Amino acid sequence: MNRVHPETLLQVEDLHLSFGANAVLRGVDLAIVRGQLLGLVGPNGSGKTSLIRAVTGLLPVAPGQVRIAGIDLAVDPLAARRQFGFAPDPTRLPPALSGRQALSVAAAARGLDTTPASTLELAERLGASRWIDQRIETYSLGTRQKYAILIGLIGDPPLLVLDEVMNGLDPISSHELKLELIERCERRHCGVLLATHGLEIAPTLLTDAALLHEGRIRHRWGSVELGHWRHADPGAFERAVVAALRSDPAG
Amino acid sequence: MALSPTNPDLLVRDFLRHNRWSQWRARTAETAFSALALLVFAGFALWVGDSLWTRLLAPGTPWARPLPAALVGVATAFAIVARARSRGQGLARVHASDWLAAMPLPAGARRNARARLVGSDAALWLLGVWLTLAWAWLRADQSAPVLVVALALGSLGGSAIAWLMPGAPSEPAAERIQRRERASAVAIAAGTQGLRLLGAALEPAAARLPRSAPWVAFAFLLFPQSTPLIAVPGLVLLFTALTLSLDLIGHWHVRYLADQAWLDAQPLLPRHLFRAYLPYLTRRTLVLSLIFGACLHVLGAPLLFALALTVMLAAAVADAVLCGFATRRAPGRFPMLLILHGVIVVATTQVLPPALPLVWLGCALTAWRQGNR
Repeated sequence: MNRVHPETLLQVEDLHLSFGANAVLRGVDLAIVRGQLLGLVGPNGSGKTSLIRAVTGLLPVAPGQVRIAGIDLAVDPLAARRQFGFAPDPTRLPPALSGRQALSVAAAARGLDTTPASTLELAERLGASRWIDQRIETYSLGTRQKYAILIGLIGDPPLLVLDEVMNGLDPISSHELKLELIERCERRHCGVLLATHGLEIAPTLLTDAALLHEGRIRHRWGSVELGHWRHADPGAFERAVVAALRSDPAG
Repeated sequence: MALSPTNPDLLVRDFLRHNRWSQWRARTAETAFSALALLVFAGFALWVGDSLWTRLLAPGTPWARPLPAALVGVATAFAIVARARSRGQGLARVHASDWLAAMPLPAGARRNARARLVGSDAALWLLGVWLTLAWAWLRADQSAPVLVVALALGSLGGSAIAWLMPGAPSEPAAERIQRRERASAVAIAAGTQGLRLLGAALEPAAARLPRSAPWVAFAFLLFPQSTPLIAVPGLVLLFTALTLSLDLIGHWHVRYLADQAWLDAQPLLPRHLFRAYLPYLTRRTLVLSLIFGACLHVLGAPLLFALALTVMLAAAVADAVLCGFATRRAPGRFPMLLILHGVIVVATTQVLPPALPLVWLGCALTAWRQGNR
């Protein structure tokens, strides 16, 4: 058995995933430690969502291993799932429930007696509380997205797994979400895996980034590089990703 | 909102019930009208059934003998279990990838919730069967306790099995279902283009989803004692045609609403989208109606009478499809409009039969206009 660093919240090793003859992930290795906000970038169809679904146990993988806070997802999925929060696809939220009811159900699913005050406070900051007692089917895409995020963050799990959560958010909500994620990583020592196409947000939000292409991690950028670009040249990350993709022989 | 930690799936069920109740209360007039329409329809069904009970429960029928009655009981149990299994498997497929799929829920909790949901459904069926039996027994002049007991025990046994052993799809079975659904979605006739693709896509999927056909087995109960054995295949075919017509309407309605949802913002007239399904619907209805009419004629119905019923079946399917078109913006009203048309048609048949074509045409035209708005 591999030794896992006690600060490691997510350890993905040699992860493979296929849909029939179509190999989607071809040996992905990834790790997230406490305080790290890792951005997963890559072109459409590169396997980002499949990786997210594999990490959250929604897709069975073979071979490969996913450990959440040291717990093997395949061996003890329940204990592993207690360690992460996942924002579901906003289109899959129950349309006939209100936002408040959906939050109550999500709280119950995490073993909480009631929706935490911090979640309701975040709903207020994201501008989602105005519609909290209306049915989800009446929500706009952005409001659905906000509730999906709130569901993912409920109960303060140490690891957050988020897939394209900035889609549909207005500038204020997007800003508030960034502040919340940074605060969670810096003060509460959480870890975040964020799949995104929004390269412009990367330097200001991420501590690390990984480029997934053709089912493999092709390039990584660390906190030093991203930190340098944040101050010197915010557009440099976008150029670096495009250059990495163009120089990739698999592309 | 304070709540005690409980099973999230059951919590969702409770919230949905609460929301539905609130919605009914908020739309008092509409709810009252729906309830009244349902009551009228139920009253009519009970009135029509009166002569049937007497015939079914007559001591001289084959069903009054222990062995055939036991077979009917077993068929009832089987039908209830099959329905519950199908619902349980559907729920299991939804649970595998829904918004709570990545939550830290023990597998047992969701299995338990499925069992409760399927069990409640089976209990409702049991209640329905027993109430119908009680009513039939009360109304029938003679009683055939063997059949009544067999039906009661069969429904009780079926519900108990559904409650205690809801079952879950095995992995290979779930994969097989997914593969079949994917294949259905893509097996469209080569060369089909544009909106007609939508109608063409219905064809293979509908052919693989005969949902009501197993219930045809119960049509045996309706056969009079004097039915010659040679006529049985014809009768079965006749009832199969009827149930497949119901499947056709149900399946089309689901697909039509789904297609409309993603094409709603396109510069597309409602009737143009509706037209995409017409070749398929016409073909299928024609075949089913002809089978229905031919069976009737072969079984001894006069040609004119068989022809009239053939046209009536086709008209009923067309009317149901138009009701679906009319209620495309509020699909919840589809059953209500169907019941309303049913009541109008039946009332006309009783009061002034010659006016039936005109009344029916009026209903169809109103639905067509509503749909085009």
